[in-house]
Parts: sequence; C-alpha cells; structure tokens
Amino acid sequence: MRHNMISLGQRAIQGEYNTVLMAGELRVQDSRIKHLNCAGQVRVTKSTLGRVQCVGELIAEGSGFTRLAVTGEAKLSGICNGDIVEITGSITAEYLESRILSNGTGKKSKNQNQNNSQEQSQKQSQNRDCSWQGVFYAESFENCSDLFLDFEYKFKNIISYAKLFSRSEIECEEFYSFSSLEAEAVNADRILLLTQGEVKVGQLTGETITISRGYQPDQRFKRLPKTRGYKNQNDKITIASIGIMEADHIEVEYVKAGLISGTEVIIGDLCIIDRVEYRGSIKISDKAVVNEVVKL
Amino acid sequence: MNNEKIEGVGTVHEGEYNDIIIDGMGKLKGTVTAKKVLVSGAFRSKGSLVAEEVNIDGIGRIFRNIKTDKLVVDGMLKIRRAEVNADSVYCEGLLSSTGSICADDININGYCTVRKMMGDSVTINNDSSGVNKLVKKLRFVSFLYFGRKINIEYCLVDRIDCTRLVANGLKAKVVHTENARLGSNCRIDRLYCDGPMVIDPSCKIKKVITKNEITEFNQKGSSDMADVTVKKILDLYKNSTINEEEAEMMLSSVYRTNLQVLGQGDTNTNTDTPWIEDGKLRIVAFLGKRLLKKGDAGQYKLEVKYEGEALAVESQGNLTCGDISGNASAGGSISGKDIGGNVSCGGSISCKDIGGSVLAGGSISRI
Repeated sequence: MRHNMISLGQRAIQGEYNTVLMAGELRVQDSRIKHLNCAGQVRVTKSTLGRVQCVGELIAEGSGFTRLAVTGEAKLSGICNGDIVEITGSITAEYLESRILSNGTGKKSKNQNQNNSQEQSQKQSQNRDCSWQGVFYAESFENCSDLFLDFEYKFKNIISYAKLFSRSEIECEEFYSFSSLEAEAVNADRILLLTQGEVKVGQLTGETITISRGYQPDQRFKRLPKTRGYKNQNDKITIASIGIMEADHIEVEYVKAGLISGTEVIIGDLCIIDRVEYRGSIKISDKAVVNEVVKL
Repeated sequence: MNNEKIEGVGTVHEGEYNDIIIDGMGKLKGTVTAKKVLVSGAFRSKGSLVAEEVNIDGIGRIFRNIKTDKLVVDGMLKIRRAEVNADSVYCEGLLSSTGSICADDININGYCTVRKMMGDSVTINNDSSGVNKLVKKLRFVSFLYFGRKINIEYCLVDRIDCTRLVANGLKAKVVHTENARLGSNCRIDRLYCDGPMVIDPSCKIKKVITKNEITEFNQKGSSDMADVTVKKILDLYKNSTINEEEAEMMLSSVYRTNLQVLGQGDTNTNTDTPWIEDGKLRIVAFLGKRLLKKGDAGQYKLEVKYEGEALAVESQGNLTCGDISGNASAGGSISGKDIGGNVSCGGSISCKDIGGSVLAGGSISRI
C-alpha cells in the first residue's frame, strides 16, 4: 500500500510510502519510500528510497537511494548505493557506491550572493565542517566544496569546482579541475586544469593534458554524468606550478614546469618551462620562456 | 555448499559453491563465491567472482572483477573493464586486460597485454610460442576483440608499479620499481627505480630516473636555471612581447618557486604539516624539525599569548587569549575571555563565558 505521511517528533515506519515529510526523529526499516524530506535525524535500515532530501543527520545501513541529498552529517554502514548522492557536510561510509557522487552542491546562499567579497566566501568555506571517511566508489565525482582526498576511493571521472588537496596520486580516467589544486601527482587519460586559483602538482601523467586559463566545454565533457555544468568562476588567473608532465598530447598556457615530455606539444602564452622533450611536433608561443628543447 | 559441473552448455547462477567445473561452455551470472573454479572449455563471466583458486585451461572472458587467492591461466583469459585482485597470478598462456591486475606475486611465462600491473614481485618472460596461431595471424585486428594491442615480440604493459621486477621481452610505458632486473629485448619509455638495476645491453630504456635525480632535477630547475629564465622574461618585456602585468606574473612565479626550494616559501601550503588548510589557528612548537606533541610541550613550559578574536585555537602549551568564537584546546592551562565553543585543557581554566562543554585537568574559575 502506498500512502503519504507527515511526521513530527519521534516516529518509526515500515512498509511502502509515496511521500514522507518529517521533522524530528524518524526510523525507517525494510521500507520503500518514493520521496522523503526530513529535518532532524533519520535512521534508515535495509530500505529502498527514491528522492531523499535530508537536513541534519542521516544514519543508513544497507540501503539504496535514487537521489540522496544530505546537508549535515551522513553515516552509512554496510553496503549502500545510490544513483546521485550529494553530501554537503561530513560523511562516513563503510562502502558507498554511486553513479554521481558530489561534495557540496556548489549552490550559493542568498546572503552569499549579496556578499560577493572573496574573503567572506573563503571564510564560509573554511568554517564548513567537511570531512569524508570510508570507502567510496563512483562513476563521476563532483567536488563543489573544499576537500582533502585522504579517504579510500575509486572514481572514474573527477570534476572539481573547488579546492582539492591530496597527498598521494590522484588516479582516474578523466580529471577536470576548475579551481585550486594541490596534489603530489595526477594520473588520468585526460587531464584538464584551469589556472584559476592556485595549482601545484608534482607530476601529471596521461594521454592528453590541457592547462589553460579558460575552458569551453566540449562534447566529451558534456557527455560525462554530472549534476551541474561548467560555469566560468572568474577566479584570479595565476601561473600553475607543475613538476613533470608526461602525455601524448600536451597543450599548456600559464604554466611553470620543470619537464614536459610528449608527442605533440603546444606551449602557449606565459609558460616558463625548463626542458621540453617531444617526438612529433612542437609549437612554442612568443610569450613563453623555454630553456631547453629536445627532439626524441 | 554445492558443487557445480557443466559438461555441455550451462549457466552458473548467483550463489555460493564449493567447486565449479566447466568442461563445455559455461556462463556465470551474478556474484558467485566458490572455493575452486576450473575451466577447461569456454567460460564467460558477467558477474563478480570471489574464489580461492581460479584455473583457466580453455578460454575465459571476464567482464566483472575477480578476487582470488590464486589465478592460473594456461589457455587464454580476456579481462575487459574489470580488475583482478589476487595473491598470485600465474600465466603460461595469453592474458589480456583493459583494467588493472593487482597481486603480490605476478608471474607471466607466456604472453600478456595489460593496462596496469601492481604487485610486490612481477616476473614477465615473453614466450609467445604457446599463443594460438590464429591469434598470431589476426593480431592486427585483435584489438577489436581484446581491446588492447597485441605484439607477439613483446609483452605489453602500459604501467607497472612493483617492488621487484624481473622481465624479458617486456614493452612498457612507465615502470615504478625498487629493484629491476631487465633481461633481453625490453623496451621501456620511463623507468623509475630507487634501488639496484641490472639491465641487459639489448634493452632500450628511454629514460632511467632515480629518486635522487627527481629531487635534483626539481631543485636544478628552480635554482640554476632561474637566472637564465629571469633574463629571458626581461628580454620579452624589453621587446614588448609581454606587458608589465604579464612580466610581473611570470617573475613572481619564478621567485616563488626559488623561495620554496630554499625553504623560505609560503608556509601556508606546507604539506609536511599533519593537517589540511582549514583556516584554523594552530599554535605549535618545533624542536628542530620535530613537531612537539601535547605531552612534549609541557616539558618546555611554553606560554602563548594571543590577542584578538579567533575562530578556534589549539595550543600545546599554556594559552592566554581574547575572545574565541569556536573551540579552545591547550596542553596546559587556559586563561582568556569569552569562548563560544568547547574548552579542553590539561591544566586549569580561567575565563568569562563558555558556550560549549568543558574538560579540564585542573580547576575551573570564572573571571
């Protein structure tokens, strides 16, 4: 039987529901719920939920979600899966598998829109308690809020719209960073970095590496599963600092690098490169400084 | 647990099994857990497989992840868009994988074409004599079937990460290892090796990079070449190729990198600290290069005085501060004004109002 329910205070439910609106504390067990909107604490055990919007605390065990949006804290135990999972706040997951996993929504509050000063938005992002722990699997990972990648993960595609830090190598198939990035290394088939914000990477390895100050989304990017498209954030353009770059096709601008090694290399404006090794072709802008060019 | 034996054509469905023996044509559907999987005919897996031992004597096509203690390939195993996690992998036939193979011990004595190999000990000896003649003849179109190139002269691996590598007839793009012993006919684009290397003269290694070289290269790139780079940037500016703003940006980039090499750079982004850039004020002390912890700090009688508002404060010694809107934590005592969050310290607390909980080793007094 499907029916709707409004719950205030403490409540425990079991069965099939269409829409559940709750404020307070809710326990859901062995249930199927199409829509769940909640404020407070929700405990979900072995249930299948459709669209869930939760503000407060979500504790789930062995459950599945079609679209899960949590603002606050999420604690997932057992194997949980979802199609789209958006977490704004902190999450602890024993094993979470999803098609799209998002850290933050990237949406600004009204107050923040009025206050465009960069300092205020920085303060707000710093105050936000955002810690991720556990094991995460996803086809696409969207980072819309500052994040330290120190948990176990496997993402096919990573799209970062906010600051991303990692002390180890970031490995995926397609990697897009449109904001600050600090990592030991990035290894992906396709790497695209925008020099908006501070970019510091020890080593980039892949098939195609593009570093530029602006980006016009192409079909390949548009086809990636994601919840939001690319919008130019108009952050301050800086010169990215990269140690070593290795790829078949490399196209860079606004980069300071120690070594660039590739088959087809295009060095754009305001690049400072110590050594370039190429096999096929090379183009160097008049506005670039390259100390050594070697044809392999 | 049941045994499953297919001698004709059949399907193994999701579940737990003791032994799975396939002599004809078998298909696996769903997640299967088994002690032993023996394949003598043709086998196709569309579900993840967890087994103690997997032995492929015939033809195996795997499209989901495999987790096993021991994987033995005597025939042909094709793995597409899936990963292998095993304790040991032993191949005397043909092994192709578009995913990665992770195992403590990988031993290839036949032919392999793999995207990524990760292991403790990796031994690759190219022996394509056992590879089917048809595969050899159709190797130019084999990409369509295997999803990877086939080159009978070499075992092809895009990337290898291992502790010990022994190889003959290997062609790889990037190899990271601590100990390399490369026999005849190896082609490696970039070899990163931190330990001993024995390389046969017939091998062609485009670049060998040791750990010291990477550090030296980075430092050299930032200091020795700095003067030349600055000169070139200034020349560009003199020739009006770049404008003032662009020249400033380039010079500041060079200058910043030099400072970092000299250890005077931007300490805000120092990755050696055990915390991330979170905007929190931390008052810490170093003894040499060692960061003093809570217990250590007490021995040195550190006293920190902080003036002005703060979000949250952590101190390893005593703390004297103004208003704190967040939490305050100190190894010794705390004396301050209003604290909006929780307060924890090893000694006594003396302050105005506290918004959160209080944990103190000594006395608590209100001023």
